[in-house]
Amino acid sequence: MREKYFFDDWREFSLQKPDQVLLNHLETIKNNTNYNESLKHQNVKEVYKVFALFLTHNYSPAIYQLCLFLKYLIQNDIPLYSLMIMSGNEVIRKVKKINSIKRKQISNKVTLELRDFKFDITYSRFSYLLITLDFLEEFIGLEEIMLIEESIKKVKSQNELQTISNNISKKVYSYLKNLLPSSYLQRYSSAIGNFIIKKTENENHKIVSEDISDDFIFDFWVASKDFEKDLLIKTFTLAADLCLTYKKSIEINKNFIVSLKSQNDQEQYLNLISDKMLDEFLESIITYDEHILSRSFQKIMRMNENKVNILKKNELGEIEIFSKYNDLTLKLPLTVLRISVFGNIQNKIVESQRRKNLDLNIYYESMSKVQKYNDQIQILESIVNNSTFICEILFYKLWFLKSPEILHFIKDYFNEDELILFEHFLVEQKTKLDCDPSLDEINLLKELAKENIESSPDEYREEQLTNLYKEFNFFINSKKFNSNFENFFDFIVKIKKQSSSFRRSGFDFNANNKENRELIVEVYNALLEIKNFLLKFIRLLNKDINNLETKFKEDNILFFQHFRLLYEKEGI
Amino acid sequence: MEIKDSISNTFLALNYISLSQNYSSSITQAKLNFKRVWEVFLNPIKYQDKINEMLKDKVFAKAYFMILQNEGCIYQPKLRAASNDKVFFRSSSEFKIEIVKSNKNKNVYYIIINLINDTKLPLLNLYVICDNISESKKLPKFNNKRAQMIIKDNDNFFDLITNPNTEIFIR
Repeated sequence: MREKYFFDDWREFSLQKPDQVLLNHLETIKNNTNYNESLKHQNVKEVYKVFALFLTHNYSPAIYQLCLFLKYLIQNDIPLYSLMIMSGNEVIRKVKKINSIKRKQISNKVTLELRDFKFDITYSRFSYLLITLDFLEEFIGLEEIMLIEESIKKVKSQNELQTISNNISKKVYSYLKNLLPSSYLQRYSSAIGNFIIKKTENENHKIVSEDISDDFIFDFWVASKDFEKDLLIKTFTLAADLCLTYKKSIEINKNFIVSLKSQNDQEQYLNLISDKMLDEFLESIITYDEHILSRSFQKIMRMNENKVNILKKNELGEIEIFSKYNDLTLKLPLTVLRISVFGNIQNKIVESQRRKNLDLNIYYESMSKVQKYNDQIQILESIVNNSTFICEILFYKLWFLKSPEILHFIKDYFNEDELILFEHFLVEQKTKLDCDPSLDEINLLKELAKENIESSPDEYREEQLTNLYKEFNFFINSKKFNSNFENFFDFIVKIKKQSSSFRRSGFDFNANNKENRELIVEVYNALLEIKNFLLKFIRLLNKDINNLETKFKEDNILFFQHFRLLYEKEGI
Repeated sequence: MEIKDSISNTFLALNYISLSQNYSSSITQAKLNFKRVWEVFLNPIKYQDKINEMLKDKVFAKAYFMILQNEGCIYQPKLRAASNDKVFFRSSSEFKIEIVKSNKNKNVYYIIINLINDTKLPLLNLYVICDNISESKKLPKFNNKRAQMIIKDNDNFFDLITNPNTEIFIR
């Protein structure tokens, strides 16, 4: 009996052979081990980067560098087969030893010398090249790899190495070109690209991010019923997911590709790309889901899994979609709202169909009586309010623990007059603190919160913050200023009461130690990110759509028209 | 490359990387690669019963003997000149090998291996390879640098070990 695949449970969009083959290649490389069975490639991101390099057909420069690297190693009696069970660091150690014995020098690079040709390869590049070699072995096979080694052994000039490298690139190209066109994902990608061209009615249209609009996504979902049968996209959520990823692809490519004028000649095209450009391009692919909102969501999610309920499970469920699409959410807020609302309705329809009690008319009628878009916005607003409240509780915890970190957030709890006094206080303190005098009040706090990339070392920064806190404590409690912060102290009294009656599973944060204080700050910042993102989303949605009530009515008609085609007609 | 193709490639990369986060490797059947060859090389006892089957794969055999030869083994190359189609005695600076007919049974031969020097290498198998055909036999324990084993003359191994074009490895 066939083994069960993880995607067998998906209602639609099944991965088929080409997709599995590629994922298996990636999986093999990720799980490769060295001679003592430790992971060979410790940095998974680097593996993804090289994988993306191959899938985007930008591998030629890396393969050329790999050939030079192999030639250097062969010259130094390190056979290719030994690299297959060595990590980047192990190869570096071996090469460093050779360098120090032969050249009597310590360096961060090796130099390949072939007649008049010289080429430097830095140690930091080794692991990247080893991953490239592993992928080559996966794609073109062990036999080819052994033949490559034999050819590289014999070469005497850079030109010969270039020829070998070109031949390898051709083999990889041919392997991927045979594999990918039949892949489901590739076919969906072509379907979206072709639909854009069809919509613009211009064969020469240059695809831009704006082509993927809310209307486009809806129309693409509807149009998919006329695609080849196995490309039918039943759920709106999947259609939107594919289109949003396509939009992201356009944006990533815009910075990398469009600036290059000549793209017809592959070789010329690759010569125009600098290593830095290529690296930035690959980085943007692999960091696709590393948005600050995703990180914040993951943080709260992990705590929830560890039974520390900062937000409730259903609230996290509502936010998940934003963490998936991050900034794209703000570009197409209506689509995200449609996924949340109609994605949910469609799930219920599918469930009813499964239970064989589907009556779309009843569903439609019940939806005509409600205001789902407004309801959804209210849900998000309530998450915003809840986050604000929990932030207040966390702030009080910091206040109670006399934690210097309160200075990062205290401004949010001052009224206008208090804020002015606080800013004056900071200006005065700036001269006492050993910091850049050009920093304004906001950047001073950012520097102390390590929000700037080039912040001072941790210990020094903490000391500065502690000193500032001591001064602030003295300032706010002094006879001269204490009465000016009446509003703030009222807030503290109010939140103290609320804090004492606040109960949530796992929510404690009472210990007065560094770890606890740091955790409070992290959670506070995560909630702040989520809250601000949701507020931005609601604002944009209100700006884009005049009347959510009317829009829901219109959408309800449109969506149910397509639901009827999908679920009432046999054979689709 | 057309812009549409570049976008499509990026789309694939984004999706595959995203899908790989939940991809189960339970169905991954690793292709033949150096790692697999190393695994067999480093664990001769574990693969004792499978090695002959594995050596039928010419690519595997080529990689395996490459590693064997470079990573330490006792070796005899092909004979440069042989007066007969079959050779029953070979000698190198590392070991002597003699194939002697049994007095009792005319179809049975003894392979007698004599090491010239002491070796620290674990000597577990006797490998023979000729024209991409290879086989191996488990060695008995060496006693006083000498080991002896029996083969029949209708065995492929017999044909290979007596062939002057055969390379012989002990490891």
